[in-house]
Amino acid sequence: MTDSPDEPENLQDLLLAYAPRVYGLLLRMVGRREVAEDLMQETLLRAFRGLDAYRPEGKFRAWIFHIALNQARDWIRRQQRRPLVSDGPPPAADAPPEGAAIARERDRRIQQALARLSEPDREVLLMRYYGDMTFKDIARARGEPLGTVLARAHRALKKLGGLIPEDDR
Amino acid sequence: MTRCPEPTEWVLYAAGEMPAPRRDDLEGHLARCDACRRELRRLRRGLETLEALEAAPPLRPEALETLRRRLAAEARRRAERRPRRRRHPLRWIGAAAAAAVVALAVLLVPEPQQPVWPDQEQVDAEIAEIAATLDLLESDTAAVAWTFEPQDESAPLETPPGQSRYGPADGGTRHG
Repeated sequence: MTDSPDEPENLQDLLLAYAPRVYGLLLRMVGRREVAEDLMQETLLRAFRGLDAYRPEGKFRAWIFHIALNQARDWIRRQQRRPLVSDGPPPAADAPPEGAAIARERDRRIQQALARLSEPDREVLLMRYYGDMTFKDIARARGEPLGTVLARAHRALKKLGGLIPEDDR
Repeated sequence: MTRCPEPTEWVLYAAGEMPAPRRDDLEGHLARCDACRRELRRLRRGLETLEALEAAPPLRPEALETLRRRLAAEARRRAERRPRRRRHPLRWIGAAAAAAVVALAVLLVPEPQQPVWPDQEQVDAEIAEIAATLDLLESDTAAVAWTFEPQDESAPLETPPGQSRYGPADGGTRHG
């Protein structure tokens, strides 16, 4: 994926290409599909309108996810509650029912574990995996020192790592 | 490496973001340290758990289509806004308003303040002090044998071999 809006005519395509990842991050943060879709659209429209605020020394991706994070935080603040457990994906049509049930149960446990993390720790993990960002980029997007971001990731990964026994996956 | 690395270094290592020289150090340590191997295993389980979740949320095509339409509409609005502003028949109103703002700014800007001069007594005192200093300098310099020799402008720039134009090459004093 291109990581710079060098050609303005391609900006719409570039933003559309970010949509699934931004949506994935937002869905994990707010836990509701329709809310995540709305926030994803607001994020990318804001990026489009506010391109003048983007500074080329930072990565475009970090800037986009910074906007997405702010959108999600504002929504959570307005709701005055922790994010809900995600709606999750529908089971795959060709998956055997038993396997699908196991996968759903595993997802539910992971989502609950994510929901129990502190908001900043959860954000770091979600940015790493839905934003496909390095920890350095995450530190830049969050305006935090790299050491702080790594400490958050360490704490959160250890909790997730202890969640499911090795033979359960 | 004998001491265990910082736990956060294992995060970078597990995520594949540790640069090569340090990565080699960590791998050397791992071969000897059970505790760090356990730490790394647990972090990797955390990463795998997250990755298992990653494929989960599909974005509905309708949501993507809505975004596409909204972006296109926004682009059209932006494109229309600029030329219309130039062709607007009442554009002189903007110019008149700008002129009024400039005029107002000129009226409101305070005039530069006049410099504050010292009074005559103070000036006289300072002149007297300077004169006294000059007298002192004159009496001091009278005791010094000045041997300034004006340079002969017509003299050639070349200097004899082994002799600097600015003084003897052996590091002797320049002034006679």
